[in-house]
Amino acid sequence: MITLTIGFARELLGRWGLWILLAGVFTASQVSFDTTLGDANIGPYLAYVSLWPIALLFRCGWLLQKRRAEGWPLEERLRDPQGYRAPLAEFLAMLCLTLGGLMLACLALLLPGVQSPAGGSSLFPATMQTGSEGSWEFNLNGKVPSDSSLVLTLDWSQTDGQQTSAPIHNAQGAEVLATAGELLYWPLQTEEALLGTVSLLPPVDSKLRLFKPLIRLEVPQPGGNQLWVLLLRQLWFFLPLMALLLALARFGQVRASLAAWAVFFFGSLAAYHPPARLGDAGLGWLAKTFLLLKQSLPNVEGLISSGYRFERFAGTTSNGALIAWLALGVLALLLACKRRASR
Amino acid sequence: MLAAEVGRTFAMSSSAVLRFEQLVLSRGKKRVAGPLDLTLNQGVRGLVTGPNGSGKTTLVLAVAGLIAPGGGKLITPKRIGLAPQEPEFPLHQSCSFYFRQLLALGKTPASQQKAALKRALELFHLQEFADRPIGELSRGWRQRLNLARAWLDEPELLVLDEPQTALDPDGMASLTSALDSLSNSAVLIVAPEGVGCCDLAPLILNLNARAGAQS
Repeated sequence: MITLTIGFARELLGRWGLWILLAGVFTASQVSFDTTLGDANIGPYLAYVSLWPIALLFRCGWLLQKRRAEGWPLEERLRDPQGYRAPLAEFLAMLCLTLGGLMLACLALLLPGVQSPAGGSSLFPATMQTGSEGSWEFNLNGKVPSDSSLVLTLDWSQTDGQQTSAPIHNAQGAEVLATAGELLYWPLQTEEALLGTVSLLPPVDSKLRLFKPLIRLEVPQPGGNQLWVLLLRQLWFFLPLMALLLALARFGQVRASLAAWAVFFFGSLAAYHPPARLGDAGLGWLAKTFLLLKQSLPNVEGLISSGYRFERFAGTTSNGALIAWLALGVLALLLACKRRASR
Repeated sequence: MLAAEVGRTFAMSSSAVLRFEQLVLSRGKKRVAGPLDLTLNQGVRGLVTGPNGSGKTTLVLAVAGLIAPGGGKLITPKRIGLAPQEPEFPLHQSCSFYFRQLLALGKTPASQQKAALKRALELFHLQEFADRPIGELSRGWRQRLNLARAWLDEPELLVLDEPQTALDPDGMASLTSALDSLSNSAVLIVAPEGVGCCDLAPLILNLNARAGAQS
């Protein structure tokens, strides 16, 4: 198995693969990190690094197709009647190379720009659904990281001049004291973060008002020391896709380079998040279709969140969704190892 | 014939390595040859011949398990070495690294793989090309490599489809010598009539394309 894995990994890397990886990681770190921006750089870096497993997927598709022309299927059938050695070796080779690339990307932790102290945060708009006197309902546009806060700007002008504070609470009894002249930070409860909706109850007889255009969701930026966790999440995201490629090419007998495109589309769908407002005009219908398809998959966009303001989705994948996603990969790998009867 | 008998099984009697019983070969819906009956015992060589289009290669593919027989019973061993008529190789890989991967794919224990590799290369005098990319080998040397590949893993049954193709006298001598070195494997050689394979094995089956009968 080791010889087979090494053989496939060598072919995956080719003559220039290692050098391209090194140059890619070096370039990505140079164009991403800036000492003044600090942790805010990680998102773009993650986006660049995710190109490595994507490139491996396409390379693997090409290679599987090439191997078919080189007579490997015949030898596999003759020498390995159970038919699991070659697909397992191919999967292991992709796993090792992806892991190797991500570990290399982890070396960015040595750069000064990533080592700046954590503590930054990003603000995202949230919408208020109802502004009745009795309750304030907020829509956060989907699931949010659990350590986020809702930032509210309150208008105290209508209140009694003597009032300088007021307790704000939710239906579950959590409470935060709002103080005149200060922003109100409402730390999201687990359920609120999970559902992406918040319902707050101001004091019954208070005349506090909200500045609706200034409602914000504050999401802390993961510190540089979280880079390895974020890269590990990328690995979890790509492993099932790699297994799926093998299943399509081997069990499905789909042309492997075409299967790589299909898997890329499938992965993009799982990571898709639509524009905030889905109108019917233009390509709105397409976004809605993608959204519908995505909702039939485990919510794993938090695993591959990258780019600017990536923190909005990073870490939003629940353990259940992760397990379902990995189970999908295991199923695909089992299918890849299952040999179809000769016709 | 019972429906359960149709197909390919891996059961072996004491010395029969390959057996057909009323075997029908077909490609899609078209019947190519059969019904055929044949038994090949351990350590025995046999030549199957016939004109072009008589189903020789279809027979090879069926024996190797690459296509299902159209009917009848086909009993084969688990370990089959096949030298196809038109071999394909990873041309950029060296012979030895390619063979090491094939051995890893099979069931040869890791401790015996080195010896198996050495033996297969020596049988066809390929040692000096072991570390060269396969793409650099000539047609004749690739045919030797094709044969050496079939000899890897010490198969119970060797199926050689037109093994004499592109071989020079020295290559033919290597092939004869390699065949002579086998004691436990059965060998099925498939070749068209009159191409000089009669010296390699006695004729056991003559496929006739027009009549679909055997002599």
